[in-house]
Amino acid sequence: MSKNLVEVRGLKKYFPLGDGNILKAVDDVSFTIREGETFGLVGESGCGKTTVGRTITRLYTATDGQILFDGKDVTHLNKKDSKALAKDMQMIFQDPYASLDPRMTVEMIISEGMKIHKMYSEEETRNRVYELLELVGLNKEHATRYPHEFSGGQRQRVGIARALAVNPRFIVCDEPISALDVSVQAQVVNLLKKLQKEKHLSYLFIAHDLSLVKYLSDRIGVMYMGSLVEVTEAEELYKNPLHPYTRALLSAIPVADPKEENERHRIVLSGEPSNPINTLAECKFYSRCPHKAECCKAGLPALREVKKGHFLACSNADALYVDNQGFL
Amino acid sequence: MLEVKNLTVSFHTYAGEVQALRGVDFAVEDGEVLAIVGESGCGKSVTVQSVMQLHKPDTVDYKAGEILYNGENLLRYTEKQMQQIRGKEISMIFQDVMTSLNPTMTVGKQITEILKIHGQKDAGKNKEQAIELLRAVGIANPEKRFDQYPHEFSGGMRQRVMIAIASACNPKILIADEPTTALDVTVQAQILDLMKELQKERNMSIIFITHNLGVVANIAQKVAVMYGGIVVESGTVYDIFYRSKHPYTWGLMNSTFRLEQDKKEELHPIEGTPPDLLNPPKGCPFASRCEYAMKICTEQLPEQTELGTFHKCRCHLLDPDCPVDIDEVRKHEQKFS
Repeated sequence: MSKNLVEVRGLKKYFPLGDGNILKAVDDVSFTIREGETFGLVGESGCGKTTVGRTITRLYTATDGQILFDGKDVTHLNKKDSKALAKDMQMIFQDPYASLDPRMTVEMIISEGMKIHKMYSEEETRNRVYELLELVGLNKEHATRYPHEFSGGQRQRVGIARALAVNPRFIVCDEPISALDVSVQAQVVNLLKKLQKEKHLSYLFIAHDLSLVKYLSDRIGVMYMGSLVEVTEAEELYKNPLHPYTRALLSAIPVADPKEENERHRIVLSGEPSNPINTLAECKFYSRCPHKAECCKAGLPALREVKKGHFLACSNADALYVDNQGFL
Repeated sequence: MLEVKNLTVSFHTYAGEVQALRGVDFAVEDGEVLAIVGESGCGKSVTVQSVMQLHKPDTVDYKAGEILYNGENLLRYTEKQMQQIRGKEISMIFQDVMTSLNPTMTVGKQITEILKIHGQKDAGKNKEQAIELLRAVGIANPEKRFDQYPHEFSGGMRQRVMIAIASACNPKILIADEPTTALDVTVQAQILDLMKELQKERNMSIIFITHNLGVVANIAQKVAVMYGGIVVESGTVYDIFYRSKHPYTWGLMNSTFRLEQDKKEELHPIEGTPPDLLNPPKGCPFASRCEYAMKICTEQLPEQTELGTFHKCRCHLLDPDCPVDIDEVRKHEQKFS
């Protein structure tokens, strides 16, 4: 088995709200990403998945907890080490319109990182830009153009080329295709898969679309209100979802098949996540959970391994699924 | 009930004439849900906004065609006549719930406003009815919520308020322009259930715009697939999902993620990008991305072929003189179920 590249231990990110309240966006999250692996992070909007990605790439400073990259603690670094690390960790953003500087040409955008890290001579940098453009399915002629001249899918390709420019080992993909059209989404997904194979990249793939995350990821973590409630391999999560929230998420995805869709029994969750500002005594999912019980009032339990490689945070799971083998 | 025939709409912009719609045909019958599917820029929103006549009059140019509502052509209506239609006969909800509600008005006022406009002057009765509507769309504590502002509601709740406003006057047709695209899957499921319930209760027709084929399978009875300003294929959901004949529909199906999708299997995206409607191609708009394109496809826009009672398709492959057998072509689409 390949070694761990990124290790997140007890990560917390709190945002003070100014009125004395604290928003616990990420509350004690731990997981690991192995070399060459794609780890998917899913959950509803506001569950903290983007904050996790941004804290790992250190766009935010962690409130508490540790981030290990290649065995080294990188939670708090000085400026110099920070810069060195930025070369290994890159990010692809959700909005291809907002994440490219409209006043820079594509060449300037892609080469900026290489120049900051003084990687190549001027001539080499230019050739490298051309090479990257071709790699992501654009061409040389695009180098002198500005972002507004491109479609959403093409812009996202520029964003990917920029992330690849400094030869990173790890890329955080924050909903990279949710702003794109269906037919273009598949193009970008295929590109991400191809690049991973060629360059042996590791991805943290953040999205709310479980069917896409399942297709791309090796392992998946399901987040709810700042905590991970279930972590396991993609195939296992789809076949044997244990947490009531995971089951509801899976069942909420509409299937592109009218016959199946008509016959399907759907678990419709009532309500929406409660406010992450208030600290709840009971389990975070309590108010919406179809299987709540007395034991859930004690709070959201820590993740524990209920089956090999399958981690779950649910007090009532034993009674419901594990003991009686009531898998789907 | 509502029939759109050969609707051709252009917009005059600085860059030139954008030929947004180039002959759109579809019909919605009583109590039926029609889904209009397509990528951004294919003209699906322009189509329904034409039905409601929401375009700025100084830029839009209705070049040809008619929009028949109960036999009357809405394109001939004056603004005053249209105001009697909007909200009362046909109403609309939008994708962006943040901007489609007025942030400076209480939710209650926004619901009673439409009742007032359409002739109910009794304020007390209107309030009662508004609270009833809020309850009907699943908003808890409607008496209290009546006096709150949109920012006090979450995205899903705002969409419920929009639906309450849109259904206040019992419209015959509800147009929903990507109402669930901005919502989470769990909330999307709730909103879809709500819309289906309302539709059954009041026997409304719904025109549902989306690009999510899963949502189409969930809610629609009829589907119209749009591309480059024309309807390339239309029919019942079963026609479109199981018997589709247009290469673009196949492409859409093949590039949709399915939960049961095998990881090792590569996705089959539609290569290339949609056509530029400032300068639309002479032939079929999909020709440049179509695997099966022939010479004629780049020269001539295909005519509509009727394949069944509802099933219609615009593709040269269906021409009786076409050298390629479409069913042979279909067999090559291995991934297509």
